[in-house]
Order: sequence, then structure tokens, then C-alpha cells
Amino acid sequence: MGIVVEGLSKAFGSTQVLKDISFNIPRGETTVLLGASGAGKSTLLRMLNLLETPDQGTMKVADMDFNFTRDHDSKSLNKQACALRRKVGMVFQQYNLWPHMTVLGNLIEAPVVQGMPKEQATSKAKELLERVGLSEKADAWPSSLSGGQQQRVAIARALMLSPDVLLFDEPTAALDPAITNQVVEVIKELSQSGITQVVVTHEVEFARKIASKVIYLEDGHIVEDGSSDRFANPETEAFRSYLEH
Amino acid sequence: MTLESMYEYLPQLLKGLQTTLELTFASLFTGLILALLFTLVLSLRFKPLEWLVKLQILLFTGTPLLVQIFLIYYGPAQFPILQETALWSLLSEPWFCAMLALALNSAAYSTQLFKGAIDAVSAGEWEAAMALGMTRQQALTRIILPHAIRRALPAYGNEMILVMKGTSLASTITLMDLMGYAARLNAQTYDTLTVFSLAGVIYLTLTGILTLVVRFIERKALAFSN
Repeated sequence: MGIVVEGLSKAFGSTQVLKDISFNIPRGETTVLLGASGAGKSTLLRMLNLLETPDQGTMKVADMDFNFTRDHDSKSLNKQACALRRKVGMVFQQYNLWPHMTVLGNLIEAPVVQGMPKEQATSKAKELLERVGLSEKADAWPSSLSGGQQQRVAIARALMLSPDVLLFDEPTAALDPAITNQVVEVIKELSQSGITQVVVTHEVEFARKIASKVIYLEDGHIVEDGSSDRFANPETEAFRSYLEH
Repeated sequence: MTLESMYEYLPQLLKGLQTTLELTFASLFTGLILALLFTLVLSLRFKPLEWLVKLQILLFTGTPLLVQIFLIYYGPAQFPILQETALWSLLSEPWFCAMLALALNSAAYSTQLFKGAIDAVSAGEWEAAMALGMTRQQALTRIILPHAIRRALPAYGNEMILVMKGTSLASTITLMDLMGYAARLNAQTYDTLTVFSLAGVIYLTLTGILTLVVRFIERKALAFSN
């Protein structure tokens, strides 16, 4: 029950950002999507929870099957997208916490809206905050936290719905190199829990630390796709030169 | 302008205070409810309603409040058909007409204010809500609107003051508010300077109190942004 993607394509206007993308991510892997900016990796990630709609192709994520054609029915797709997103969490580069809610409020909002009793949500939130090392920050405002702390809150928020898959869009791009390790620790700890993680980044060092599998994109194509051994032994010249610079 | 005359006029003017306050709060409350509904309609793009709200905003921000009060109070009397409906008991009532005009006027300005604040909330906050499986409607009512309203609070405080001062126009349709009593007293005494200075001071005091109250609420509601 991982992620299977077959022939995904996406164009914005006349620019083809993703061309016939196919890959397979087994359950429980931590996969890094690497590539220069503009390679299409963020767009690809955002398709996995349907924040972007592919033009063509098929996709199987968290046991839900999707078949895209250019003239899709956007209403029924929206409904499916909501259901999918409850099983696929996402963490953003800019954290995107809601600033007018406390840390605890940020965590319990979505589950409570979706019908989880408040007490249950609160105790789950406290557990998760402890897991990311921020139990004493439950009543703090997001703006009073450092970047690394905010990102850990965002990860805890994404875990509130117990997702099968967790997506990270450049989770460390806004963080100090020293703070990046806090996120590395959390991702490593999560990978032991059997959750499937997909991480977009352009930082090779960060990628090496967390990846069990790597996909390298260039210009909307997958160039390299393999296990984390590929960092030591790249198969393609393009990936080798990307790792070197 | 003597101290004795002020003492004499003050109780007479204060007789209108209750009407002024009732009118202010009733129209602010009605206007706020309408503005929230209008904001939802604009943000969720409910097609036919969206056009009506835009037309309402165009009409009520584009014409003077006094014209609106006159039209709402004197207008319906031109249609005999209306006089037979249950609405007539309300529309023939100056208090109700003034309240309605002020409420619709305030709703138009407040809607623009709230919509602007919603548009200023970062796209990332929407995206975070959607990524957690919320619908657009849930994201708007549970997260984006509560955030936007807090941000709009300082500007909405000004709107409250404008409505309070706007109630003085209700005296033109026979309503005996603060301004109504001031006008009557002036006609009786010709002591224009004293009477209207006193009325001005009372309005100024109300504005001051309202400002303090709004500041207090702002401090609580915007505590997160420090």
C-alpha cells in the first residue's frame, strides 16, 4: 500500500512541467525527490494529495485509485481529494501554521472539524507534541516559536489524522542548517513507524541523511530512480553531476 | 454660553441618548450579521447572489447615507400595495427605517473590509487547511474568516464610530435621538452655540468610550501577532 504512479503529465498553459512520470514507492519508504528548481518536483509532490490535478495518467495513493483525463468532473474529484487528504498529510516550506490559533488549536482543528471528539483530539495532540519535543509549547502562539519549532508543530499537525503517507515540500529550505537536524531527527523517527514519506528538497546533504529511496528529476522527467545507494553510485551522469556541485 | 444654561440643557439632550445608543447597536449588529453573510457569498462565489451583493455594495457605498434614509422612509409610501402588507408596520416606523438604512450602509462598508482582510490572509493558510482534508467552506468559516476578522478589527472600530455618528441623520425623519433633541432645544432657545457644542461633546464622549472598548478587544483578539 505505497504509491504507484503511471504516466502522469501536467502542463501549465503551454509549459509542460511533468512529462509521463511513472514510479513506485513501497510502503514505509522515505523517498526523496531531488532536482534543481523548476524540475517539477514540487508540482509532482502536490499531485500526490491533489493540490494539483494531473492532466493525464493514473495514481494510486493510500489505497485510493485515480484516473485522470483532461475533461475530469471537478466536483466529484474535489470530494475524493478531501477523502484522500485525510490519509495523506503535508508539511510545507513556510510551515503555514494558522497564526491566530495556539499550537494546540492548530493541531486539533482539522480532526475536530471532521468529527473527532475534542478531548480525544487534545490528548492525541499532547502525545504528538511530546513526540516532536514541544510538549511545553501547547499554549504558545506560533509566532513566538523559532522556525525549527514551527516546522515540528506543522509535522505534528499533519500527523493528527494518522496519515498513511506524509508529504514534505522543501521542509528545511527556510531553516538554518543547524536547525535542519531537528527535522532530520523527526523524519528518521517517523520512518521507523512504518509511515510512507515523500520529501521534496534540493539539499543533497539533507537528502542523504533521511532517504531510503531517491528519485532525481530534471526538466519534468525522472532521470534516476533507485535506493539510497544511488547517492554513492549514481547510475546516470546527470545525477552524478548534480550530486557533485 | 453660560454654565447655568449648560446645566439646564444637558438633561434635555440626554433624553435622546437612549435612542442614539439603541440605534447604534441595533444597526451595527444587523449590519455585522449581513456583512458576514455577504462576505461568505463573495468568498465562496455563490454566483447569482454574488452579483446581488456587489450591487448592494455599489449602491450603498456610492450614495449618501441621508439619501438612503430618505428613500427607505419616504419611498415605500409611494406604493399603496406595500401599505397592505405586514411589512408596512415596520416601514412606517422611523426608528426601523433609520436602523435599516444604517445597517445596510454599514454592511456594505464592512463587507469590503472583511473581504479585503480575507484576501490578505496568505494562500498558505488556505492550503494547509485543504491539505488536512477540509472543504473550502470549512476552511473559510473555521480558519480564514476568524483570522481575517481579527485583522480587520482596527478598521471595523472606525466603522462602528462612523455608524454611531451617522445615527444623527435619523433626526431628519422625525426621530428624537440626541441630535433630534438638540435641534428642538435650538429652535426653542436660539442658543445655537451652547446647544450644539454640548451635543458635540456628548458624541465625542461616546466616540472615546467606543474607541477604548475596541482597543481592549483588539488587545485580546490580536494577542497572537506580538
